[in-house]
Formats: sequence, C-alpha cells, structure tokens
Amino acid sequence: MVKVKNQVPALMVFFLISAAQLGVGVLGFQSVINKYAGHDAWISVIVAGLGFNIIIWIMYRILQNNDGAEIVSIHKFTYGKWLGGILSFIFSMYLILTSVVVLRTYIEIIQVWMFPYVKVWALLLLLIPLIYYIISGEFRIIVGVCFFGVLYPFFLIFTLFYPLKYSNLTNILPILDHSFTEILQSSSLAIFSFMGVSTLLVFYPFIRESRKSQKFAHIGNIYTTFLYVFICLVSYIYYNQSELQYILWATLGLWKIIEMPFLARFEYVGIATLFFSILPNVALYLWASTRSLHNLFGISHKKIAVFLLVIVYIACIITGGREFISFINNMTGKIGGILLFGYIPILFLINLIRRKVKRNAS
Amino acid sequence: MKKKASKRKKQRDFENTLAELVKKDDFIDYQFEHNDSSICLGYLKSAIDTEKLEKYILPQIQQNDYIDLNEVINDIPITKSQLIDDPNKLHEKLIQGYVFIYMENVNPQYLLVPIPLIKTRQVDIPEVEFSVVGPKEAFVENIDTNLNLVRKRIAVPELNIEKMKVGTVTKTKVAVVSIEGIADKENVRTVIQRIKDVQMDQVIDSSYIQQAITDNQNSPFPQLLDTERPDRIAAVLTEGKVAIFVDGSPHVLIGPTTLVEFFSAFEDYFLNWTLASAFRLIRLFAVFFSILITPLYVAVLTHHFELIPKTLLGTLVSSRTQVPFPPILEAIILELTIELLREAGARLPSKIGQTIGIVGGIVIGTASVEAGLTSNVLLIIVALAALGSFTTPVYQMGNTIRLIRFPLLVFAHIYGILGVGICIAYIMVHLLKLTSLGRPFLEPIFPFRLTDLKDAFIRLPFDKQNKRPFAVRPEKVLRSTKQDYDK
Amino acid sequence: MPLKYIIFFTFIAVSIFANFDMPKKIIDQIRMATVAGYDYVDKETIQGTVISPMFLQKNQLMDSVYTDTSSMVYENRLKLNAQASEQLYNGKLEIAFFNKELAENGLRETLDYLLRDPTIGSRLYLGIVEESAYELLNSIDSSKGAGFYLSDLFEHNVQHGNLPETNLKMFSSGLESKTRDPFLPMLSKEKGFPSIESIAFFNDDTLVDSIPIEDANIFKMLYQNFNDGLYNLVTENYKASIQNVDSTRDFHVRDEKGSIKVTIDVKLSGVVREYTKGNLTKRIPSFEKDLEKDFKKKANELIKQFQELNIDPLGIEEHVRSSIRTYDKKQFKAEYQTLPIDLKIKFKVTESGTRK
Repeated sequence: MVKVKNQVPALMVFFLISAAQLGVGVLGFQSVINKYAGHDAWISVIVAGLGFNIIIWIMYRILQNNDGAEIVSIHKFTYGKWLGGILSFIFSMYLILTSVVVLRTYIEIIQVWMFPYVKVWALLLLLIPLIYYIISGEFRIIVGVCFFGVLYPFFLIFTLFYPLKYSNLTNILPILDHSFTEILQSSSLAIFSFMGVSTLLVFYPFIRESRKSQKFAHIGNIYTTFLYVFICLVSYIYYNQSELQYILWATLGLWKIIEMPFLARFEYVGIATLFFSILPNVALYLWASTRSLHNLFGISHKKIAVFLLVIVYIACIITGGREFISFINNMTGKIGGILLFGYIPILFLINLIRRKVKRNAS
Repeated sequence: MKKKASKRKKQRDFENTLAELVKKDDFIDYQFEHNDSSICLGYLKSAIDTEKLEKYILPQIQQNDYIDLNEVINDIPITKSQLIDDPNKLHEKLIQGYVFIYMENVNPQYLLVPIPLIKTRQVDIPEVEFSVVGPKEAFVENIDTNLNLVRKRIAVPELNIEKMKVGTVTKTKVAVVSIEGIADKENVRTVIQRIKDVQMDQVIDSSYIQQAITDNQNSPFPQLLDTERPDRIAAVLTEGKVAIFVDGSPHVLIGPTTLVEFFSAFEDYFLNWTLASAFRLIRLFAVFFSILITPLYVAVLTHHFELIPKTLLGTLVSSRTQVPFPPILEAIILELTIELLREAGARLPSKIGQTIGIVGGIVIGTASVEAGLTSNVLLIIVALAALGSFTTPVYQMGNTIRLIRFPLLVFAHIYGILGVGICIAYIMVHLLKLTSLGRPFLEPIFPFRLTDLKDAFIRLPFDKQNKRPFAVRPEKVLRSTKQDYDK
Repeated sequence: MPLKYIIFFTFIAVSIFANFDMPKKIIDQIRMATVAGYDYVDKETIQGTVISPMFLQKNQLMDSVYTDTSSMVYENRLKLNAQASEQLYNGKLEIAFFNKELAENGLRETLDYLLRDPTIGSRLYLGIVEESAYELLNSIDSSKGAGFYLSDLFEHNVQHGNLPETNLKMFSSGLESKTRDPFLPMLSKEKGFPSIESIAFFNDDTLVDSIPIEDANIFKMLYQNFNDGLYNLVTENYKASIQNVDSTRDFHVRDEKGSIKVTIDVKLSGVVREYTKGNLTKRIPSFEKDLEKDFKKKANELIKQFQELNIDPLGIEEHVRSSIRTYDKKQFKAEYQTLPIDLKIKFKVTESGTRK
C-alpha cells in the first residue's frame, strides 16, 4: 500500500488528468479530426470528451470495486498470474509507446519550426536527465510538474482571441451539416488527444481520499474538452476546411498572425511554453509505465526508470520523418481507442463477474 | 599519611599548572602576604575584565586578612564564584575568564571568580534589511542580547528557548526558539535533532549551522531564511516558525520557510496592504526580469531574430554592428564585469567601494560601448538585471538569482528560447523537490493552498490574515480567538 | 551517489557541446530580406528580387538589392545568396510582390514557398505590381528601408484608407477556399514612387480584373466591417465628402422555393467634412437619401462586374453555403451569374463638423 505521506490530495486528480491529456495533440489535432465531419468536427471533440467521461466513470467503478488497487493487481486478480501479467505488460508497453510518440512529435516540431539542424540525440540527452529527475522521485514531484504543466500554459488561451480578428464565422456554418456517423467517426480520431486518462489506472492508489477524487477527474476531463473545443472552434473559423487540408500544425499557424508591440512572432514563444505541457505528459506516461512494471516484476523503481529511458532514447533517435511520425501518431490513437473504449468496459465486466464468482465460492 | 600524599600530589599538580601558565605571556599572578596568611591570585590578562578585578576583588584581598577561602566568597560581590579541589581544571577555567584565588591551607582549594571580559557591539540599526518605517533595531553578535531583543517583544511564558553547544572546538552556544502551543512540535524536534547531529569543530556564524542542517546541501537555493531584524523574528515566531540563534552571529535563522518568503521584505507589513502588495509584485517582477532578460536577449539575438518587432530591429542590429563577439560572449563578459564590480565593492572599505561602483559602472560601461566591445542595448539590459537582483530583500537569495543566470545563458545560446524553457523546467523540478525542514519549499503554489496565498505574492490586509500559514503546520491555526481578547 | 551526478552533468555537457556548432542566426551576421519581388520572365523562369537592409550606426541603413532568374523560388534564393555578403533569411520578410504577368499566369506555385517556410509570418503583405517588381523595388529610396517603407504604406492604407484587410493568410485562405476568390492590392510607379493604384481580383489564382483604388471603398464596405473610411459624393448640384465612415455589413440569404435570394445589408455612418452647398443640417434626410442611392448604384455595378467575370471576392457563395443546408455547388455555380443580389443601404450622417 502507498503511504499516506506519499499521497496527494484529491484535487490534484484534476491537474493529473488535464496534464495527461493536454500534450502534443493540442498543436495539430484540428487538421486530423476533420477528416469525416469537416467543419462540424468540433462537435466530435465534445462527443469524444463526453465519451471519456463515461470511460473515467467505468475506470472508477473498476478501481473502487477492487478497493483502490491499481491495474496490475486488478489484472492479476481478474485473469490470474500469467494472463494478467501479460496484459499488464502490454498496458505498460502502450504507455511507453505513447510517451515516445509525444516526445518524438514535439522534437519534430522543434526540428521543423525552430532548429532544422539540431542533433536529436544530443537534444534528448538534455531532456532524458530531466525526465529521470522527475520520475525517479516521489509521486508528489510528478503531480507538481503536472500542476505547473496545466497552470503555466494556461495563459496561451488568451493568445487565441487574437486570430479572431481575421476569422470568418461562416467557416463553421451551418452547424450540424454532417451526419451523426460522420461526427462519430471524427470523434474516434480525436481519441488520441484525450487518451492520457489511462494513467489513472496506475496513479489511483496515490490519491488521498481517492473516492472523493472522481468528480475532479471528471472536471479535469471537462476542462480539457473545453480547451480542445475552444481551440478547435477558433481554428475552424480562422481557417476554411479546404485550407486546413494543407496545414500540419494548425495551432501554431494561429499564433503566426499574432503581433505584439514587443514581440513580432508568437509561435516560437508558444513552442517553448508548450514544453511545460509536454514534459508532464511524457513524465506521467513514463512514470505510470515504470510503476506498473515495478508492481509486475518487483524490480526497483529507479532501475526500471533508467531502463525505460534508454528505450525511449533509442526509440526517439531511430524514428523520424513526417510520414512515420504521423503513422505512429495514428496507430497510437487507434491502440488507445481500442484499449479505452474496447478493453476497459470488457475488463469492467469480467472483473465484476470474477468478483461475484469469488464471493459465491467463499 | 594518605591525606598528606594527596596534598603533595595536588601541590605538585598546582605547580605544574602554574609553570605551564607562566609560559603564556599574559598570565599574571600576585602574592599578598598578610599577618596570618598569604593569598595567591592569578588570571589571564586577555581573558578578564580588569576593571572588575580592581574594583571588587583586589580591595577585599588587600585589606582583609582571611584565613579561609569561604570567607573570601562571601566578601566578593560576584555571583557564580566556585571552589574547586582539582588544580587540573584551573587552566581551562582561566581561559574562560576566571580569576583564581589560592590560599595555602590544610586542604588546598581554589576559588574561581568569573569576571570574563565580554566586548559587544551596541544594538545598531539594521544594515542589510534596512527599512525606513518600523523598528530600527538589529541583532548583534551576542546571543544573550539577541535573545533579549526577542524576549522583550514576546514576553510570554510560552516562549521556549532550547540551548545547546555546537562545535567540538568552539563550543558555540546555539538557541532554538519557538512558541509552545503555536509552533509544530515536529518542526522544533527536527531542528534540535539536526543541530545535535552537526559534526563540526567550529561554528563561527549562523550560516555554518544553516549549511549543516539544510535539507539539500547541493542546492543553490537557501532553504532557511536568515534575518537581522528582531521584529521579523518576533513576527515569524508568532506564525509558528522556529528561530535558530547562534552566538557570534548577528543573523538569526528561520525555518521552515518557503520560496515566496524570500521575496517579502519585512517592510511590507508596515505599509498599507495595497502598497505593500504592489511593491511585492514589483519585486517579483524584478526577480523574473533579472533572471530572464539576459538569456532572452541572447536567445533572440542568436536564434530567433524573427521575434524582434520591426521598430526595434534597427536599434538592436546597429548597436551590435561594431561588436566583434557573439551575443553570448558579450553577455557573459558584461555579467562578469558586474559581478567583479560587486565583489570589489564588497571587499573594499565602504567609501572606496562606492567609488569603485561609480567608476566601474560609468567609466567601464561607457568606454566598452565606445570601444565597440559591447552593445549599448545589452549594457542597459545587464545593468537593469543587476538592479533587479538587488531588490531581493534576502541577500542570500539575491546571490542565487545572480548565479542561476549563467546556466540559463549557456542554454539560451545553444537552444534559444527552448533552451531557456528547458533550463527553467530544471529549476522548477528542483524547486519542487526542495524542502525546508521537511516541508515543501514551493508552498503555497504547490502543494496549492489557497489560504496561504494571502501572504505570498500579495499581502492581504491584517483582518484577512487571521490564520497562521499552513506551511508550518501550526498547532493553533487561528491567530487569535475571541477569548484571547477577553483575557 | 557521485556517479549519478557525473552522468547527469556529462549528459548535459555532451548535449551542449554536440549542438554547439548548430547554425546560428546571429542578428548582425545575417541579411534579413524585408521585401521580395517576383517577375515573370517566361513560362519556366521567374526573376526574384530581394531587398535586405544593412543597418549602419545611429539608425541609418542601406538597402542592398539582389536579383537573379531561376525556375523556382528557392533555387532563386540560392543564387541570391551567392551575391549576398551574408546568408539571407526570410524571418523578417514584410512584403512580397508579384508582377501582373506572373499573376495572370497563376500564383499558386510561387506562393507555396512563402506558405511552407515556417519563419515567414502570416502577416506578410502581398501585392501585385503592374509593370516590373524589380523596378518598383529599386525605385524606393527611404531612410526606413524599402521593406518597412512598403509595409507601412500598406498598413496605414488598410487602417484608414480604401485598402481592404489583406495579408498572406487571408490571400491563401481565399485561394484555397472553394467558395470565395482572393484579391490583392496592385501597385505601380507614379512619379517615380510606388503607389497603390488598384485592387486586383483573382479567379482561383489568376488575375482577371481590377478596380481603381478610389472606388475600392465600396468593395471594402461590402467586404468587411470597418470604422475609418472615406466616402465622396458627387452629384449635379453639390459635392460632399464624408469621413470616419463606420460601416457594418450583413449577408442575408433566403431560400425561396428553390431559388436563392441574397441581401446585403450595409449600415454606414459618418461625419461630413466637406459640403459645397451651404447649410447642411436642414437637408440631412435628403442628403442621406442621395448617399444611399449613390452607394447602391456603385455597389450594384461592382457586383454585376463580379458576376460577369464569374468571380466571387465578396464570398457570396460562402454565405450561401453557410446559410442554406440544401446548398449544391453545381447548381449555385450555374446560377451565380444571374443571381439576384439585393442591397439594403442605410446611411446616417452623425455630425457635420463645426458648421451647420
């Protein structure tokens, strides 16, 4: 069991969930999710957000039914030692994959927008110790990083009012011009931006009065949904749909129009600021993965952290190129969708049956 | 027989000790021959107060004819005089400022009278934390004076003073002060335990203790606040914090503390809350400005010229056209110049120091711009940054702020704005990990406590300050209840 | 414990040293192109011109003009770099010109370079030059530097003059949009100085027509809301000039039994600056009527002109698409040239200066 000293207040779940969700997706999800629903894709974001509220609810049911255990012990209890272990292992591999995707995509943005000639392996040498510095410590540190990761980039919202001057409201009209299926299809593409909630399955035991924390988890998810919808709406009235086809990072594009008396171009500041949003993202995923592997194999937390960081380091170096990065982004989104919307409800049901059976047997 | 033998041994020891003492050039002994007896008196001239000796001891011994040392005790109007048997202890006592009086007797005993010479500074006005309004007293080097300065402000029986001695050689007096019933017992215990665990031969100043008991020794951030103002100590004691007094140091340590406390001047409490809050915000802005402006200058001029507005472009470029160095070298040279000026100013006597400051600031600055070694824009920026770092009320934090600019500069040179961001992230995580006496250092920002924000970035009026800061876990949270007033 | 710190600092040191030779753009060791011009040479070749200021001391600067021909814009940049004393960068590009011939042959290919480069801001002004962009750029002699001179020229005309809001982002928006066509200001050399002469309209990415800048206020008032316009009225009896025109425009699209009806509702208000026929205050209602009539006539002519050319810089199709769910692109395209567009003008004179 986690000691009370290492636990964090229930309110912090809000920051954990938001920080886990707000990552690299914020920068370019607009031109991905409009594939089916076009200018109505912002509704898809709302739908996806609501969907995730349901998933969070199911997750809390699973976690509370098992008296605050985390995913590894739930798996062990539900499927037995071997099958459960394999599933936990797959789950932690998925978490590593996500952290690699987030980190690599951010580095790609740096390469494209800031330093085309940067040596990725060297830049990573700067980031890896920082991540280790965060995840090797207590859980409190990760929560702190998440806290600042939500709070500090918050002011970026205000920059989004600036492009409105150059926007046409007609770009998103008429509302609901697409069929419900199209909106749902687009929602499935938006999952990538939300799937950070899966870390909840790991950090749940670290929450003080964890039962009370459910509402903060929902609020966190609603907050992210609100942010995504807002960004999406601004982008969709700033760009028209045919223009968006050619645009990779629409949010950065929004910043390109901002001009202040002391700052001619905002996107460079924006990219640097978003580092504070990427960092908790990567750190939380990696911490969750480390923690699950620690629970699974019983090897010391720090050793696993070092090992995983080596994996992340190598993975980030060998991957590259727009096409591949967008491929792993899509793939991770799909895996995340299957895991969260397919597997979690199944786990919930099997776990429920398993508990019933066990109770009857005893 | 036995008695005689022991007496002889004692006599021998005494003579040995005397012989040893005579080797010291400031040992003085007298012998007074009276009718019935002879009295011997000795002391170290540099350790005692000669005035007291001449006033209270010598007349008695010269005029009276004593037979026994016990009579002498009664006649000398000085407390804590003691009779000892062991001549081997004499040496140690003499060093501490005792005078010994000896009579050849049946049973030889030595009367020790303490008249140590203690020269202390007068209580003066605070120099480091000077404030125009408010009390003008500052701590001095004497621990008893310092404790008195606090005690007269908090004259309550709950004021708890725990004294101990630290340092195998110096045996410095250290006092841990807290208010019982308000201060968290665990905090007090932690402080006492840590001070007891200190293994040092010397404790010359409170900063020795600070470095010895701090939570993270490798951090450039001070984790205990030090102050020279007795009024500030009184105020934080009533907040539930713990103060550490060290003999010989005019600075008193406070713990547990938080980052924001280092940026609050005590003057803030003497001004109206709106003004105080505004000044505090200006001070915080100055700190951020001071840390970030030179790195940002380097980052923008080295990597991101796109960020410069077109109206500023000409000024920035033409100021640099004559400069042969890249921005980073230029910045480091100027920053080092400022550091040199500061160091030189600090080492020299205050009058010359001022001159050096002016000469350095004006002559070197103007000359280097005219020679084309630095750009005048950067000169302004660096000077403003230095100015900003001096607004920090706590001197030690000011040092930290000046220091952390240098890694930021290097990162800015290599990775531009992103480098600045990464370096700030490092500092942020470091601050998150820091604790002060085991309490989080970044409180009330993280862990987030709304109630403690009342006295963090801004200072709300006193009627909103009815709760003690939660960061120190006070035993009594409410500052005062109705019953307190009724009493 | 020490091992951890050694690894930690080694990593950071390696990271710093490995990227130490990363190309830097130190502000005084680069040339910032502030204005670029592209001229049509033949079907495969363009002539690219770039002006970059060299900042001297005490706020003085000297413009250097680089020009060469090539088949692509980036290739052109390589050739220009061969002439420049330092590397040329786009980061402070304020304005880009294309000559009329190039615009008539389509701008999409040339524009791609500007849109793809992340260092170019979206606020970049674009303009068409009637004759040769090279010569226009060469003609500027200003202590501000050619780039800032031209961008300031555009800026104040957008804010207070007849020039509608325009920049790279808005042009590319109009270009990519399937429901509206873009426009750009057109410049030419007047008495040796560049001046904004007209507004050029595009069909997709090719220039098809232009209207003189004097008449552009009608277009601007139909195109966007703005609040510092100018309107001149010339009738047989009197002449009048109105300033600080505050205009708002609304599109109303109705679907009446399958046929689309578009109404443009323009509300204007302004202050009279000049009136040649004595006392105005008595005649304000009739004066307002005259203004409305005049505006309506000119606006109708302009819209007719657009419809005849089958271009849509006002974005009428965009408004139809966004208001009518049954909108069908083919049907609209067929109907567009005969689409009835109603104008509802309301002109209000708020002040008459210091005279009655």
